[in-house]
Order: sequence, then structure tokens, then C-alpha cells
Amino acid sequence: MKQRIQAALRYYKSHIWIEITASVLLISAVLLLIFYFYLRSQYYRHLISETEKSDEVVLSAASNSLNNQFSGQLHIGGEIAVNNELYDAVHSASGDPSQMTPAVQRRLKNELSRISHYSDDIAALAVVTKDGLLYEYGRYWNANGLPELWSGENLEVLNEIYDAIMQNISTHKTGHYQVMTKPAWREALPQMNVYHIGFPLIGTYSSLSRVEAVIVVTYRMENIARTSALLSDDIPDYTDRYLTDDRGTIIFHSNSGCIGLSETDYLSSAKADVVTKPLAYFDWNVNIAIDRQAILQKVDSIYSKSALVFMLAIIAAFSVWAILLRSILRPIDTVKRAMENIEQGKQEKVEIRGEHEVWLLAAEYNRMLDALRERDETVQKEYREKEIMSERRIQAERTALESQINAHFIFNTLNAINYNVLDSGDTETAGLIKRLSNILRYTLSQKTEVTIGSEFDMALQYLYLQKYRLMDKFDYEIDFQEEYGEWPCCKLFLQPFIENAIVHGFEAMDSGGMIRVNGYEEHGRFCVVLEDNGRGMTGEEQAYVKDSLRGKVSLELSPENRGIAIRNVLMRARMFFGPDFDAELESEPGKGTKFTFLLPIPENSGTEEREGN
Amino acid sequence: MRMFVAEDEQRSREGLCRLLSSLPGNHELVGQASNGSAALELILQLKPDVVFTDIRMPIMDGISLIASVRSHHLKTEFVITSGYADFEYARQGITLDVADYLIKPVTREDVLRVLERVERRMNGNKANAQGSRLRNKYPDAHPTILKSLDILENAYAGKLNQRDLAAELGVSPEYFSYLFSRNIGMTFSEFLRRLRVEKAQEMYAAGECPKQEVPYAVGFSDAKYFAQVFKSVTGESPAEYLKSRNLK
Repeated sequence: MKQRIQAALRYYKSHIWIEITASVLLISAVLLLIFYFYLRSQYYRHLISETEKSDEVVLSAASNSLNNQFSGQLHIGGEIAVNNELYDAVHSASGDPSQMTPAVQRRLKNELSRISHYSDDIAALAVVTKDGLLYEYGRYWNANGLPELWSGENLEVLNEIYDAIMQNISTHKTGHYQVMTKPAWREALPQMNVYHIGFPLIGTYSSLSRVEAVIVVTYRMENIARTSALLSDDIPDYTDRYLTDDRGTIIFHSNSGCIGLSETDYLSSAKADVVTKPLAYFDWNVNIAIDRQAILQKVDSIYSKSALVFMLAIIAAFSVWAILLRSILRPIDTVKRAMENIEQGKQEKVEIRGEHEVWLLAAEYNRMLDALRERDETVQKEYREKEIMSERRIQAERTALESQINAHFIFNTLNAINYNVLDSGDTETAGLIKRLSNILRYTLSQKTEVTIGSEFDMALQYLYLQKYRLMDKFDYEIDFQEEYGEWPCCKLFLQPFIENAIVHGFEAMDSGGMIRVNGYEEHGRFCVVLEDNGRGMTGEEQAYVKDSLRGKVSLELSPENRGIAIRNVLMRARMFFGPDFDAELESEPGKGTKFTFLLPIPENSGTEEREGN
Repeated sequence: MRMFVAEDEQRSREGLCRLLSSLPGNHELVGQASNGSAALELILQLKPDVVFTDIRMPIMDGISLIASVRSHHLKTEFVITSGYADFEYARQGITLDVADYLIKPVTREDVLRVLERVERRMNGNKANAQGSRLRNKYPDAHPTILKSLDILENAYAGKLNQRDLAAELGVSPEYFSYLFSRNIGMTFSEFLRRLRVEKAQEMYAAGECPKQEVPYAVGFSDAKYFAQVFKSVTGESPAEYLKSRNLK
């Protein structure tokens, strides 16, 4: 588990796309959250204001509709009040239901049945006299054999209505009807919500003073509620529409459980805001309660659903983004892998599969690889050359070693001969012996680094001996700035050129040859000029030597094996002096040959340090 | 000068003896030996001024001979005669403080030159006390460098740079720098820094020059830079140096 976490961490640290994706994801999540809360509060406020506006409209529509219906009901009440047939029938019943003849009963029933069809809203009709209930007609129950509405405690209500109307008549109050909201429903039909309006039964040719009975019309509440949109299927669930009567009691509510409660109790339990509009009749009010808590919950539920959708969308978008990013970064990965391969020794080029910047980087990498390979080859070539040279040097050293075995013999013998010569007073021969042994010693010594002074000394002795041998064939001049005697030089640097001049340059001459060797400082380098007036070099020979002068190492030998000594000494010199060594050849057939060398001071001589003060 | 020859080859020995005997001046050959141990015995007995010895000899070789004589605290000078002077001998010769090398075959001029040098050495040893000059510290240096040391000794208090000095001595600055570090063992600027600090120390000790003037008196144009150089050379700042030596 720990290893897995570490591996994941490593992957995270080594892959930039994860970091980019994660940070962008985080930023957008935060922005989204801010946006989400802002939108939610805005929507909530909007919803409340919209609800309030629409409720105003609903209220005014509902109150208009209710007013119209109530006005219609009062109109029906007026017609009933002046119904002669009913008046007569009631009058003939003379107030006592038990004394009523079947004929009168039939007459009353017929008339009431007829009246009940004035409106679908009428649920029942009852006739009340000063003695109480005279006759009751239930549109929904008499026929079905259900018990009557007006019985028991309800009779009290009926009498209340009668008394109130009689009171109204005697006090000449305008509008003789009386509205009663109790009982609100029948025990046997709890779903049927009702209210009652009582009217005095006057007749056409009678007067108010002769009113004997009151007719109570029972209306079905849900019918008028439905018509006036108090009861509707499209009411939002966070609003409640209801009716209250003059005493503040809820007389209709979409939730029938609330009917009969006092409005104040209801509102305190529901914690809702109320908009109210009074009706034109009965002192009733139509109300709409808005439950803010419910609105908030609704908004929340909408937004939590949408947040889920949002999150899914973001995750989807970022999956796409991550895939895209990875594909963009793939060339970097490819380059990285290629570089890792290099560390393991495999040099593989990156396959270029696009044109954007990162692929350009990969192309640059390929170019670098090419350059690297080229340099590798150069280094290897140089190494091979050096190997060959060191082999040659070892060969030369071995030869020198073999000679060294005899060196003591040679020098001691020469020494003994020398004493003999000295005894006989021949100083010239002694000088020759001395020079010869000096040259031998210098040649055989193991030292590779010598000085300009010893090189010129060596050249001088060599020229002296050659001149002694060849006599008139040539002459020489040698000169150099003595104070530069300690300038470092590679051993046996001058001798091969001098030998070349004598052996090849003066080959066909018997006399008149001239060799000049000059050494002087020039711009921080020591300049050595070797000049002869011999036969010069042919073009082919010059080309061969010039190749060597330019530092080009050809490993083949020249056709006649000539100039090999010169080429070898140039190779040695280049190794000894480094890149600042310069050599130049001027030669003209028949006129002579001139070599010019510029010898630098090898590094590590302290020249790099500059004056501090 | 009393001379002695140690050489195993008879012809060489006799040849050298004849050559030495024929020299003009106050030179006297006091003895000869054909091997190292015989030579040692005679040298201890005869106490010559200078011994010419071969390296390769039977019984005791030249190097051992020199070491043995040195162990007896004789002020004998040695000249190695060798046919084939290679590096190892030269190195041992230096540690044994050999006066010179005589390379075979030996010529009359060689011998005279060597004897002159030996004589100078002997006189030099007697009068060693006066060798306080800067150049005497580097007897084997190139003449150009010796000249430069003379100049340095007189002019360290002024403006000095390698380029001008090289020009004055007639060599290129690169070559001068090369020669200098080869002969002296450090770069010119390092040498000059040390010389100036050394002179400053002498001045502090002498106490004739005011302390604040010392940096300028030894060729620095900035006292702060002087302090820096002083510390890098001696490991102490000038103030610490003065304090540690109770110089106020």
C-alpha cells in the first residue's frame, strides 16, 4: 500500500499534466461553487417574487369567481324566498311535522326537489319554522337512506339560523339571509364540505311580517372551490389556498385536515406568509399561504440535482482534457525515454509525429544526437591516431633501450680514445669525439622535453659534424636569441629538417649549399626558420609534407618512403605543443626550401595569472 | 687545489689523471683509486679539496662513496664523471650536494670550467654570510630571471608588472612568465605578493615607518587590498600580526 502511494506520488511529480489538470479542476470547482450559491439565492428570490405576483393574480381571480358564485347563490335565495308554492305548502303544514299529511309532505318534497336543481352546488334544503325543523330534503342522502343532516346537535345550528334571520327581519337589517359554516360536513360523508345559507320564506303576496319559516340551503364547498381555482391540480406544493370566515376559522382548505382550525393556529404551525383578499359577501376572506421553507427546499432539490449533473459534466470535460493534454505532452515523454536510453548506451532517434513546438524540441534533440555521434566518431578517430602514435613511440623507446644497453660501452670507449687523442695533442679530433658523443647522448637520453637552447646546441654540433664530413658541399649559419634558451621544445625537433636539407636538398650539389637556422621571439611564440638553397621540393612532395604541416594525419607512407622523418617529427611536435603550434612550408624547385615554425609555450606555465595590483 | 680521482677503468683513470696533472695553476693531484672503498679510505686519509668520481665502480659505487664521505663531515667537493648521465643519478647528485658533472669524453675546457665552479663554491661557502641578496636564493635560475630578481628587489615599492619587466629584460611576457614560474616555483604575481608582504613584515619589525604608510611603502595602492593579500599570504590580518608580535 505504502509502495503504491509512493509510486503514485512519483508519477504525480514526474508528470506535469496531472498538476495542470488538478489545478484547473480545483479552480473551476471553486468558481462553480460560488456561481452555484449565487444562482441559488437569485433563483430563490426570483421564485418568491414570482409566486407572490402570481398569487395576487390568483387571489383576485378567485375572489371574482367566488363573488360571482355567491351573488348567484343569493339570487337563488331571493327566488326561493318569493316561491308561493313553497310558502303555501309550508303554511299548510302548520308547523308541526308529525301532524303533516302525506299530501303536504309530497308537495314539499316535490317543490324542494325542484328547487334543488337550481344549482348543482346545492346539496340539501331544509325548512325551519318557529317549532324547529319542518322538512329536510337531502339531495345525496334522502334517496340513499342515509340519516338526515339536521338532527341532534345540528338542530341547534338550524334554530340559530332561524333566530338570526328573524332577528334580522325585526331589526330591519338589509339582507335577511344568514350564513352558517357549521356543521362543515356530514359524519357519513366526510369528503363533502358544506356551508349553509338561510333565507326567510316570504312568498309573493305576503310581507316580511308574515314570515313563518326559514329555508336553509346547504351548498357544497368543493364545487365552488374548484370553479374558483381554490382547489386545483396545478397549485404549487409550496403554496396553500384557503377560505376563512368572519370568525377567522378555516372553512375550506385543500388539505381537509386543516378545516375547522383557527387561521392563527394554522399559520403559526406552518410558518408561512399570507396574502389575503376579502370577499364581497359573508365577510369571508380568500387566502394564499406561501411556505418559504418549502420554496427553499424545492430550490435546493433542483440545485442538488443540477449540481450532480454539473459535476458529472466537469469530470467528463476534464477526462477529455486530461487525455488531450497527455497526447500533447507525449512527445516530451518520448524524448525523455530516448534520453534514458542514451544513459543505457542506446542511441535512438525520436520519431517525429507532429509539427508543434514540442515536436520541434524532439527534432532539436535528434540533431543534438547527430552532433554527438559525429563527435564520438572524431574522438574515436583521434583516439586511434593517438594509439598508433603511442605504439610508434613505444617502438622507438624499445629501440632506444636496446641501444642503452651499449651506451656505457660507447661513451666509456670514446672517453678512453679521447684521452689518447688528448695525449697526442690533437684537439680537433678531441672536439669531434666530444660532439659525436654529445649527439649520441642527446639522442639516446629518455628525456622528451628539452629546451630551445639544447635543441640549437644539438643542431650546431650536428651541422659541425656534417660539415666536417661533407666539407665544401654546404655551409651553415645558426643563430637564436640566447635569452630564450629555456623555452620548452620537443626533442630532436630541428635535426630531421636539417638532415632532410643536407641529404635531399643538396643531393646533387658538390658545393655552394647553405643552411640557415634562425630562432627569435615573435608575438609570444618562438619562431624558428630553417632555410636552404637546395633543389627544393616537387609538387607531390610539397603536397605530402603540407598535409602533415596542417596536422592531417595520414597513416599511409609516401610512395618512396621519403619525408617520413619530417612527418613523424611534425606529429610529435603537434602532440607536444598542442593546437597553437604552427608550421609553414615554402619551396620552389631549384631555389630551395624554407620551413617556418611557431612554437608556443605549453600551458601550465603560469601565464594565466595576471597582475593583481 | 688538491684533487683526487676515483675511476675503475684504468685508461680512463690514467687519462684523467694526466689531464689534471697537466693543468696550469695551483692544482695538485694527490691520489687515485680504482674502486669506491679504496677511494674512501684514501680520501679520509688525504682530505682532498675535490674528488672526481665515476658512478659505476666495483665494491662501492660513486653515490655510496659520496654519502660515506659526507657522513664523516669532510668539506670535500665532488664532481661526478659519467658517460651517460641519466636522471636518477642527477637526482641523487642533487640530494648529495654534488658540485658539478663532468660528462665523458672529458675535454680540457670542461675540466677547467668545472674547477672554476668548484673554486667559486668553496669561496662561496667561506663567505656565505653576505649572501642576503634575493638572487642568491636561486643560484641555478636563468640569467634573465636573476636580473628580474635584482629589479624586483629595488623596485617592489613602485608600480610593477610582468609585461613591462619582460620588455625591460628583452623577452616576451609569455616566455618571462614561463621562465619565472619554472625557475622560482611560483608565478610572478604570487612571488611579488609574497615579497611585498615580507617587506611589510620587515618594516613593521623595524618600526621606522608609520603603520598606515606600510602598505603604500611596499607598493600597494589600497590598504584594504593590502590587508587581504597579507592575510592570504600569512594567514593573519596585519592587525592580528602586529598584535601577536606585540608591535604597536
